[in-house]
Amino acid sequence: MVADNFFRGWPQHNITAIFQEAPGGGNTRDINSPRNAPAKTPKSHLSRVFWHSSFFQFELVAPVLTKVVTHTALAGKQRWSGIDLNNNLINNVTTKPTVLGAFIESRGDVRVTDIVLMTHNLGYVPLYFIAHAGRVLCNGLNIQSLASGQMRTVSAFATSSVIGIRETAISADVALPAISKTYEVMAFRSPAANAGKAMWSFDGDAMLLGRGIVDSRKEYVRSVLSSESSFDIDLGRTMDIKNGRTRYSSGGIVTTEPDYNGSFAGSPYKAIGV
Amino acid sequence: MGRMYPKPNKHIQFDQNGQRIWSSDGPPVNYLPEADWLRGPLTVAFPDFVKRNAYYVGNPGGGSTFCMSLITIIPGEWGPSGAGVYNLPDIILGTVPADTNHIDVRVNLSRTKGPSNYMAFAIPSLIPAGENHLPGGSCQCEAIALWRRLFEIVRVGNNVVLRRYQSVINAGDGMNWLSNNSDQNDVGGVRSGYTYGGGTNARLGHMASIRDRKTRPASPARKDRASGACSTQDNTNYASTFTGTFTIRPGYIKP
Repeated sequence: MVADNFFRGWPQHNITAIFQEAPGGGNTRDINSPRNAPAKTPKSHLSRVFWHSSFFQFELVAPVLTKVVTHTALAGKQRWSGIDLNNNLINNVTTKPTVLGAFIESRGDVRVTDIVLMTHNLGYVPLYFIAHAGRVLCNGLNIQSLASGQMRTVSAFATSSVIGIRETAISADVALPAISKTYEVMAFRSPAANAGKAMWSFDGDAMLLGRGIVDSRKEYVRSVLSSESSFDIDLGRTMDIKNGRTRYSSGGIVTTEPDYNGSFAGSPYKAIGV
Repeated sequence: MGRMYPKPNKHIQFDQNGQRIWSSDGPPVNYLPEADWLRGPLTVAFPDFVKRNAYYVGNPGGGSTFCMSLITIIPGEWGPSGAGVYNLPDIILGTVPADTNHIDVRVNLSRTKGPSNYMAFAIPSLIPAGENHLPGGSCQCEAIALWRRLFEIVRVGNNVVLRRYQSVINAGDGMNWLSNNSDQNDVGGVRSGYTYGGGTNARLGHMASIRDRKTRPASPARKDRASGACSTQDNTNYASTFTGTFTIRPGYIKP
């Protein structure tokens, strides 16, 4: 049975909230009544508070941007170093030495590229999410892994002008082939309250709450109802390393690199959307 | 038009022209106000690996030899439950209210000390410049053929802690070492090939860096000789340090 939910406000205390009452009754208009404790001290009653004017929320700055990125190929490479019978010191040559000697072979090449997904030019670093395959992107996520040791990882970042991903591509003695991936980019802000606005007001046909910190014309990160589009956000650790290899678990989807021999089972996650 | 109204299921919905903004049965993801955030400097330090050495003596004949020595990295697992040099203790960054069930973790880090080259490779940092969002708190910061480095900022009780891990692969003893780990053959002469040294598990060492090379005549170049031998003194440092700041916003997501 669902408990009743209440929408109340106390302008003199600068508080507006939607919440379930706490036990203890009291005058509904008195912020100090036990029933209104979730509104008065929300961080002690978080499971009862659905929205509060003191909370920080993620307001979408611009429509969700879907970006398809072609991660380009990286050629394979072999380099030899060592010493040969003719007393030559060999340093990172790309042609296999033909004179006998002692050599070690380095296989592969490394390339680091920052890829801009969104140019926002907000002049400040916004909060952001980047979603990939329905999950918020983890730092150093392996998006491509092949049998000869080629791999490609991505990490998200934001500056005061762009949101992007850092790609780290590693080839082997053979190339890392190109691959195409799709990312959803969301930039957010958290507007400040406007002291000139009421706790609950209208601006044209838009409803404003909390002196304008919530505006019905905007979109906010929230839990989704069935049939709404969503992406998963993890509520605990998403990676584990063992035996020099990584297991990723995000949104309940597990990806394990060969030779990983740990037992990481993943963490809870929640479907959210805007 | 913006509306706030009760739904038949006793929940309250906030929408604009019928488009749900949020509702009490699908509420916003709430974060506590700025006064409750945790912010501060962050240093994530990963120690050097455990190293051994490999030593090649080449005896092409004619009475002279040459040598090449390498620093090797042996397998190992570091983390909060590791013992001795493998222990990386938790670092408490702060506390969050008991009722919160989610922390939004963002860092701004740069690698201020990088590891020595591995073979021909300078090791890339997986952490880009700018602000990095760490969903779940995990951050893989180095990943190459030989090892992975990872840190996480997670909740343990009401503490928010920094945990570090590093892991070097154990590929088994696949190197073709000289028998008896000796470059001396049955008649007392020198035979060509690799021997290992430097401590326990040296057989499992991965070739990481050429330490020294001496050309013919190295009079002679055997490892056990006082002069002419290639040095096996470790001149590498595979430690890494990332430095910057963190911001943690504790919050609540309706289960």
